[in-house]
Amino acid sequence: MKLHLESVSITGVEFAERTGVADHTLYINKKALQELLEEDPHFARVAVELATPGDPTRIVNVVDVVEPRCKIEGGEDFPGVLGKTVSAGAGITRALKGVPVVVCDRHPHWVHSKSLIDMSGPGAALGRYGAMTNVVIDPLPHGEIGDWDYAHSVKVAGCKAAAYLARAAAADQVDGLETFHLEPAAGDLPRVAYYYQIYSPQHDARGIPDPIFYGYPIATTLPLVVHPNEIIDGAVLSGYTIRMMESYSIQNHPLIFELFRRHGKELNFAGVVVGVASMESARRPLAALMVGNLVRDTLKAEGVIMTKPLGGAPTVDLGEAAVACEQRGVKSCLLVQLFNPETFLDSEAMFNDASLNAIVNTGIIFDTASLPPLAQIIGGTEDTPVFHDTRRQVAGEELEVEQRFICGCLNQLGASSATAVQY
Amino acid sequence: MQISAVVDVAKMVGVSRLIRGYSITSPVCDPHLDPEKEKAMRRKYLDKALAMLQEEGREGEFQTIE
Amino acid sequence: MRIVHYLNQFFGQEGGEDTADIGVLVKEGPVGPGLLLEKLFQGEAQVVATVICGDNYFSANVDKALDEGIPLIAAQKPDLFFAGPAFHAGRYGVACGALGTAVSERLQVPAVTGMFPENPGVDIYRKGVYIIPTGASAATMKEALEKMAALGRKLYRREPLGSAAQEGYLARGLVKNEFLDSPGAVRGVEMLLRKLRNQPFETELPLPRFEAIPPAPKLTALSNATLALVSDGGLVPKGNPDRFKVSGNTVFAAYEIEEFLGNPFQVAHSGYHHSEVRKNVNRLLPVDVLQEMAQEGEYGNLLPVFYSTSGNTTTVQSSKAMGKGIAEKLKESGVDAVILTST
Repeated sequence: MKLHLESVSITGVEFAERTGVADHTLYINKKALQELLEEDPHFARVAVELATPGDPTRIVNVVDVVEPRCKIEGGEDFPGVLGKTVSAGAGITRALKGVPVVVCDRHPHWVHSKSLIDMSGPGAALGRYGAMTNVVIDPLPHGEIGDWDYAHSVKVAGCKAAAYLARAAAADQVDGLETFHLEPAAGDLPRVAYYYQIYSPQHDARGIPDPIFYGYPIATTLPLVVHPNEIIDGAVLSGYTIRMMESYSIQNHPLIFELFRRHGKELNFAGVVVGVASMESARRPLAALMVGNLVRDTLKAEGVIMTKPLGGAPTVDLGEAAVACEQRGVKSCLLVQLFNPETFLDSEAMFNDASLNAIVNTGIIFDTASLPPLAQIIGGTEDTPVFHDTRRQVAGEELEVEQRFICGCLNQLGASSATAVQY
Repeated sequence: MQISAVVDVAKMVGVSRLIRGYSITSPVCDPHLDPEKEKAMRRKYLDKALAMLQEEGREGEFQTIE
Repeated sequence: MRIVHYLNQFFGQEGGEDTADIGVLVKEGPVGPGLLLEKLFQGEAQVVATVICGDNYFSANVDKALDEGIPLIAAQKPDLFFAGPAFHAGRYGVACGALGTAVSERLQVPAVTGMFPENPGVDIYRKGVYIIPTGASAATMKEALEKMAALGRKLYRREPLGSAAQEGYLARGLVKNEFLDSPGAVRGVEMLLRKLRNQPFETELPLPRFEAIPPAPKLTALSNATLALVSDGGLVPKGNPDRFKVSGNTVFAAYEIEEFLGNPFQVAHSGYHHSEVRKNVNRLLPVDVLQEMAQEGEYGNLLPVFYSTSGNTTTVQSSKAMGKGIAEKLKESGVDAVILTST
């Protein structure tokens, strides 16, 4: 499976008569994009706005960030979501760099899981999208729509906008190319696998999971082998809310990219095992042993690095999977988070098997930041609620926001440089 | 004694009478069973619990209802 | 800058163990180690008074000693307060910790003390007063005072304080995010490569060590035994009257079982999906089965009250404290055994 990922670096964005790219500037026919997105009858209207670094702008109700990507050859745009369900990960994909699509969801469901992006002030420094020009897609629901139907429409709209914008660039504007090809590297390099615990159904309201894998839910899957190319090429998107794993960070998966970067130099990237957290106790040892076996026997790895979503139960699962690998002679490294701001680091790990001695702590998710009010609000209004665990606060005020809701600040795949430090 | 689906944490801290619960969201029975069977399963858990209370505790181990 | 310094009877030059019962007194200016402390500030500050108390007197009644000592300290209008260092002396450590915490909280004056990390005063007071780690004996006095003075100066100047590791104080039980040069993914790959090459590496999260707790002896007379139900699944009467936090909770409450079952309830726990429990609370609190078993004579009786808490991202410290608290109440009620259900 060989993927050619072309990139077009964009340094400016403007609304214009015609959509296109010239001299690294993206021109967007706003009306055309709006009409495209408004084809979905679930929307009353779709606003499209630009948010540039330094603007006194707060983008609220953010439920995803998607990098503009389109399939030039050998597949479909966002297969299973926009396009037909065909394999991702091969052929030619074109990306626009530096101009993410930010997707807002104003439906009053799931208030606590919406994120924000500040374009100036301390919030802009904390979240990486504050340093990029964002194309903000802001739909409004049409009439009474159920939670999932609307969330799905919003997800599709983000992908549609991303594909539309990516198609604005012509072949002669491509200025970067990365090739992803997992040929076994020559030499005696250690084989390193990645165990990607991709989902946990513990918060699925009414037991309905998010369709994150080729537009299909995999909330109860036992561990399976997936090609890393597929993951970064649109086969995996974030769930209906960001939860520190926005689609952009999966398309630019920091671990997969880092393992490819070192492939053939310091390591042999052995591949990826994907799994989900167990809710039933009988399932946990089964999933763990399967991860161990797949990593050791199918991927033939000597080392494995692991990430997980959400909170505590997935962390415990990850520990079990890691112990299973260590018991099979595969050395592990885990990326986990801390949850309690009033604690001691040496009592926070949710496992204590001595073999789990290589842990990366990617931050405390409940640490808060104070964000001053900003003059302009996109994706909502001054009265849009912003989550606070003990009181009500709204977007137009000075905010005390948990860093997990500042999009691009924390990331469970390891994209962020945050780490929790003892005070 | 404790009934918990997440036995790993309980084992780690040294719980000495531990039954592995059914699931995180329903520790003492399978909520998808018919009500009578569900209650019968709860009874199995509690029978086991009383039995373990009458045995010596063993840190870092757990039992199941099978 | 006005400094008030606290010393025990020995360092305060009142005597040795024979004067450990003396009450709280004030001396003008620095005493003993206070002289070095003052010198470290190079004219910027003066130790205007030294408060002294016997270790026995203080530890016998901490509240009383605080009520007597704090006004004496306040009267000196301090800008900065130092206690000890207490090294490994337990009673002295408690006095230093208690005073430092009280000065900080009640007088809003920055407070610093120093103790050997295993001094019992550390665990009790580390959150309330800045504690510099010291050696076990007074041989390390100079170094201890230097570090205490440096931290005190920063606190007085209201300079932003860094982490425990950066500033050299004992961890106070707060955790905050810092942003390193390298993203977590890169740190992870590098750490794994070092582990694979058998090269040294440093984990970013140490593994916990838990004290061994001997199991309670088995029950021998089950037919007479009183059982109690406890759950950490966050069960609360509607309205959450005891204000359980849905995560990081630190409180527990007792609810009368019949009253609880007969009235609307909710789940104050954001770590699991509670629809199954809300449809049938017996799935978490198996009262139906336990009541039948009592009637059948399988055991003595079920305590009419159950103990509830919410165990989502609870710290080890809070869990221990709640466990002890619940256990005390259960013992008072004559309970012989507990069934704890967890989500």
